[in-house]
Amino acid sequence: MKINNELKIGLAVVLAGVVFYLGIRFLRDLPLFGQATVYHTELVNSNGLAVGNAVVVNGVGVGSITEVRLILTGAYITFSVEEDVALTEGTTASAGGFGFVSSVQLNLTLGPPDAPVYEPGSLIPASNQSDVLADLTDRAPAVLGRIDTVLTGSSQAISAARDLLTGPESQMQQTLASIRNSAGAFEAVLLAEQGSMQAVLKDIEQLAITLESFAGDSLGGAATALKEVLVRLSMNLDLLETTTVELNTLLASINSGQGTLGKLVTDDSLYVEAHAASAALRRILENFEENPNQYLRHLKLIDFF
Amino acid sequence: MIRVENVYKSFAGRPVLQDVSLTIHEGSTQAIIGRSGSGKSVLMKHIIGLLQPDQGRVLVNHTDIGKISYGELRKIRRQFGVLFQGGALFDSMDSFENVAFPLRTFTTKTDQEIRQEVQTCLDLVQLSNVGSKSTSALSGGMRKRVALARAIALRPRYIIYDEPTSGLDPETSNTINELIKNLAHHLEITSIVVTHDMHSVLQIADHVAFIHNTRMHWTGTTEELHQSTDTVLRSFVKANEYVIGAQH
Amino acid sequence: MPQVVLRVAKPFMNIGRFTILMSSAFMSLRELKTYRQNTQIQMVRIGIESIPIVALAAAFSGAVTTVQTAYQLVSPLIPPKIIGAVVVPSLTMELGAVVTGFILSGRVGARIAAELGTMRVTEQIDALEAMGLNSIGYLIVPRVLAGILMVPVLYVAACVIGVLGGVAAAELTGAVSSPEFILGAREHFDIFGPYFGLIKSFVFGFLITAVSCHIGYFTEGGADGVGRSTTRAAVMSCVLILIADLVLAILLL
Repeated sequence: MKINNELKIGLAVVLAGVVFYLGIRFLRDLPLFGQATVYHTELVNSNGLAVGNAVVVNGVGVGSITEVRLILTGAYITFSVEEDVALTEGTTASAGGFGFVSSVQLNLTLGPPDAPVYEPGSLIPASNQSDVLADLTDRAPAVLGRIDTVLTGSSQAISAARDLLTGPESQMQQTLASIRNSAGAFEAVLLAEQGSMQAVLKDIEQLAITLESFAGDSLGGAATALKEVLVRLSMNLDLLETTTVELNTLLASINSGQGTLGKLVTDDSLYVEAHAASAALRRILENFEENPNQYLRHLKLIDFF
Repeated sequence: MIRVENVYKSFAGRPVLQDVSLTIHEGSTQAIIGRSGSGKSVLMKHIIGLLQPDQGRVLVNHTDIGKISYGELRKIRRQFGVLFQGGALFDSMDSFENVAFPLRTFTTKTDQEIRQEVQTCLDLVQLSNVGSKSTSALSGGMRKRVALARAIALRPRYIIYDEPTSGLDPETSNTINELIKNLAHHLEITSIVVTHDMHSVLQIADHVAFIHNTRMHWTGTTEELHQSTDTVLRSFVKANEYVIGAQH
Repeated sequence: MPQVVLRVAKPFMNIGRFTILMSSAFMSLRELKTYRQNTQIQMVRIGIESIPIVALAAAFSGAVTTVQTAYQLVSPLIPPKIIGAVVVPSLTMELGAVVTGFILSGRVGARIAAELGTMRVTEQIDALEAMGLNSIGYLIVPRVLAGILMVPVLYVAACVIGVLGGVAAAELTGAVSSPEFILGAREHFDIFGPYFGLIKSFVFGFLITAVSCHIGYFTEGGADGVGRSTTRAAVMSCVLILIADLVLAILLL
């Protein structure tokens, strides 16, 4: 009787303990026995990943998240995967699965199968795809900076040209040549910049599409900010186009000898001014071509967001 | 020696004991008699500290049991054996286990020793083969005898009987009375018998205390009881004799 | 004391008496060695012997939750695996502990009150005390300990059997396949759920046994009183479980 009771209680307690332990491991999708392999990753934005969320490879659950910690540069995630899943070098991690019905999960994109396997406990790099915002942060200031500089240059060229044309000038031939030089240089810069701008714009468009495919709440603010950037960008480009058209018209009219050209030929002092202006324009353009980063450096994304 | 000194006790404002004093001498058999509800059971519970007096004190071997810790009180209680009115056998155990219970709890005796001891106790109450019987299968008299065997299992210094013969037929009552007498003699126990059965009192007691209307009305020896002229006491004794007569 | 004052004071007196009783029980824990065997017996009675009825109730709770969740999921946009994600946390966080608690209120609470009540009115408790035994230690400590230790065990059993009942019902009604059920449960699994349930079951185990012991221990008035105590113990246990359930949810969630 006495031993019987002890046995019953002992069995029940041990069994309950084991079942509780195994049940939790089962529901967390951890291997029931043995140690799961633990890895870490750092995401800029965890998108609401929580302890217990699934770790997924090609849509198949292979483990779960065991710890989510806030760090200065984002979220530090510790997760475990089944022992037989080999995380080869080149594997990247990203947070995914937004929406109301499916829950957040940590997606792993495996590296090439013949690459060496990551040691347990190593830091799996975050994939670029998940870093939409980081991407944007890197690229947007470059794009905007370049465009702004181009616009500054073109406006200056135009005002210089205007000044030149409204004042009377005796040495017509020189002036015209000077203007032609400046305008030619300007046009060359514009053409070169247009090519690179086109590429940058395509890039941004691509980014926007990627971004739109994420509908999570956490991205809402960033998306709005990005939209603003794009709006601003297109406004600037419109302005650039108008300016260029204007400039072209002006130059065409000078070439054909019409308009205010008569006045321009009669004033000496204005010639000097026009000369100086065109020199200044040339300096700016040269400087810009040589050293564009100097103009871009201070244009950080933070100013626009 | 047990001394009850000027004890007052009331329940929910109603007095049950008022200025009750009593001295019980070592080796004597003290009867406490009185009508039902006169407070004699309450007095009995004061003696083993199941109830604490509102006023006054109870001394067991010169120790005031109202002034000691619960642990100390329990040590003193182990010198007592108590036979409760209904036997108060533990119905979760069989008869043998009931008698063995105090031995298992308070001694370090082996199973073999306990078995022997239980058998001795059962022999003393003239029950030999009820050991494995469930307590609910026992008759009233047998229950009391098993309870008595349990009360004496630890060889107490004092034994308290609460209405030992109530609810029993006269013959069984006589057997129980004989037992009480024998035990007192055999084990040299100081006995306290709380009863309203005068027949029992006259058979076994050498000192009598009569509680009437919550007060100690009369105390004395059994001989003095016969010669007493106290009308209340006489009418109580007489009423009892009438009942006894009717029973025979 | 006037009747009205008594009426108002009674609940407080009960709480006071309960607190004193429990602190006495706590104080007598150091004599636990003496009550070891009794604790074992109570663990078997409260724990082991309750497994069948708790299992039955849990299996049906799991099955009913599954069927009703499936019934309420009318939108084709919601995948059926959500059923698993609803049923499993319901069982681990709420039903596992509360259903076990209710079953035990009737089974264990009433039994404890009846046992102790009978022992009180037949002077068995007085007999224990008169022998020099600590009746609180002997009668109450083993029961409350058994409750605290065994109800969590029953809770685990209830959860496992409840989930199995849910899976079975899902398969039988064709609402969702068991792999999908498990998938949903895993995707939305919150590690705190089982621990929360476990905490609840500790609390319920204490409440049921302690309150029933209190009511049984202070039974008055013969067989009738025992009957009253039995009913009161079952009802009080249920009520306290409901209150504790809410309080714990507010405190811990």
